[in-house]
Amino acid sequence: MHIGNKILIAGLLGVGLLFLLPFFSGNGGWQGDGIPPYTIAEGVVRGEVYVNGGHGYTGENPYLQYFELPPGEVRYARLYVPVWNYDSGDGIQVTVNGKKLAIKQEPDYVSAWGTALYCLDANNTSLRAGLNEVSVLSENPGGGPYGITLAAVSENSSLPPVRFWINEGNYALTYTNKKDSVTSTFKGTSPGKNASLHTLLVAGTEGERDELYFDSVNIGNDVGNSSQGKYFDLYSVSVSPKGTESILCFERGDEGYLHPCVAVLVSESESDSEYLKLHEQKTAKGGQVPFSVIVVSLLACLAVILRFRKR
Amino acid sequence: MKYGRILALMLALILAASWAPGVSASEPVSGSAATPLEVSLEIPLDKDLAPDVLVAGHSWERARVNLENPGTEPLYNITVLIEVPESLETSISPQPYLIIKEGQKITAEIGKLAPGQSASLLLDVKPPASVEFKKQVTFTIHAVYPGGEQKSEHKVSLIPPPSWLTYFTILASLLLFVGILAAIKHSGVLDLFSTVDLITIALLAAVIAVVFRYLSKLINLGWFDGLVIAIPTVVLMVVALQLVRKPGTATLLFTCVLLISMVVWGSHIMWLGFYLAEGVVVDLLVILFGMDYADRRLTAVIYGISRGMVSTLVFYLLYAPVEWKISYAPWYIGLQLAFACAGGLIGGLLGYDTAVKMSGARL
Repeated sequence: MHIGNKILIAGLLGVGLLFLLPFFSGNGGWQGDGIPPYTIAEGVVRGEVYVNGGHGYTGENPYLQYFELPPGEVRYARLYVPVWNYDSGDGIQVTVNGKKLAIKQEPDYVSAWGTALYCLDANNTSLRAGLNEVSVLSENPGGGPYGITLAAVSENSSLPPVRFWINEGNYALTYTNKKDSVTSTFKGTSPGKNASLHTLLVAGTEGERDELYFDSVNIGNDVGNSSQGKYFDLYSVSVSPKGTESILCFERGDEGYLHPCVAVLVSESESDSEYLKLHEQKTAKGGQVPFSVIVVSLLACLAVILRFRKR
Repeated sequence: MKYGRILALMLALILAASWAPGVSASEPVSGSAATPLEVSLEIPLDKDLAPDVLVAGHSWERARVNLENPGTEPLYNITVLIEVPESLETSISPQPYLIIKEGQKITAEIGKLAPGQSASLLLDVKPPASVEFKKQVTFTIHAVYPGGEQKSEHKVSLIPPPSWLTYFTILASLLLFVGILAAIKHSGVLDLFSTVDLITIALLAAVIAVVFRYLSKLINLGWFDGLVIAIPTVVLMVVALQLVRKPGTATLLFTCVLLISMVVWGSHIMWLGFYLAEGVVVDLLVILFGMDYADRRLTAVIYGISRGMVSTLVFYLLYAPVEWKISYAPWYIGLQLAFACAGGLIGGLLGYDTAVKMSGARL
């Protein structure tokens, strides 16, 4: 076979392989805009809702975080492990108080260039009142956890009832996809009640000013400022719902990248009847081959064909 | 056979790099081996980063104080007092020990350590927003227990703030760019490039900036990702040199790579210096070798390796501290340098063969 034809075939095979790669590699490349935080659990409990975490991207492996849970029985708990630089094949192993909780190969939500969020139900684990140790062993070359966050609902009959919403997701507010804001909704809020809001954001940078709004009221500026560690922010603030549906709005502002992942609202409850409602988990739409990659590949292919036709 | 040798060479380089000093080295332990309690401080905890170095202006970094009883007798009622340097802010998160923080002094009640048992204390440390010059600060750690006391010092370097370095880098990049534009206009070099040359460069740059960058995210080979992407990049660079055959081709190619990356991926203009550096070094070598546009296998390899070395050093020694305020460990930089050289070598050899076969392949 003529050498030119060999090169032509090789070029065409290369382009063909390029188009096939995403099908084999799963969540490679740009992994989409992600999912805005939505309600995964809500309810009323006589007790309290604990939300805490830390401590930023440090590169340590295993990644260790302690949580001091309030007195009471843990009725519902969800662990969140945001991870930087997720690629297909990476995974984490989570241990709670020395007992293996789970090995997760796939994150629950992934967006942008591989900012991922692993979510783990930790209801039936050894989590208890007092100090708890959570360890994450990650298999992620060049990446790792941004932090570990725990949202736990503890029952304590000596306390008044509280209404809570736990919203989770992972939405990429970036200049690359030109997404500047995203909202997260809490349905069934009680206007005028005192409430506390906790939001987990990753990839925020100090000095790049973003804004946070609750029912159109500004409740924070430059919230994503790596205050609890590198690219990790767990921001807590007192709020008061204005209506029966409250909207939390994250504005990217000057931030290059900002990923709102978790939002927990805890409010005084109007009702004494306790309940826990779990919602179905949503699945993020997988990443697609960017249009620019297809165009450049086609142009390169065309150039190769033209070259050999000319010959 | 030829490619077999290339593969063997690549594997040899990778293996050599894997055994580079520090890859398997354990962390240094302060204190004397004769003492019944060994105390050490680790900061940062990321093994890829330079030990005992903090970049000013950086966010919180986690530190770990390790205590170990290497003796044969248990030690009781161990108390650790850590004196944190004035310029550093610290934060203590809940841990299995009673820890009290008063100003720059942290006291932790460790209790008993059985023979061979160890304990770790975690601190979050934030360096100052800026320091004028590189300076060393000292953590003093006192460990007290009945019948003994141990004091150890741990020095940590604070690297000057990247803020001025950032501005300097941007300014230098812009000045270099403006200077090059002025020189190009003055010398009329741009007139040397025909429309076909410019289209060829733009197309090759687009493939590097768009397709290779996209593919780089599909590959998950950890440390080897850079090597895998360096090879086709050097191949296209050598192809560009041989097809266009004009002074300034490499600089124009990599400048186009950045411009396309800015439009498609939103890359920052700050990276201009990085792209210019790898292009300029290749173009200088072209002149140095008597206008040899990778016409020999040897020059193609030299250009590929030089481009890899310059881009790696500029990235790890300048851009990483400036952009992410990260100071990488010397062994890690050495490892990446070895990968870059391997990529340049293989890319140069493959690029030469490809370019020779594509000779006359102008559109």
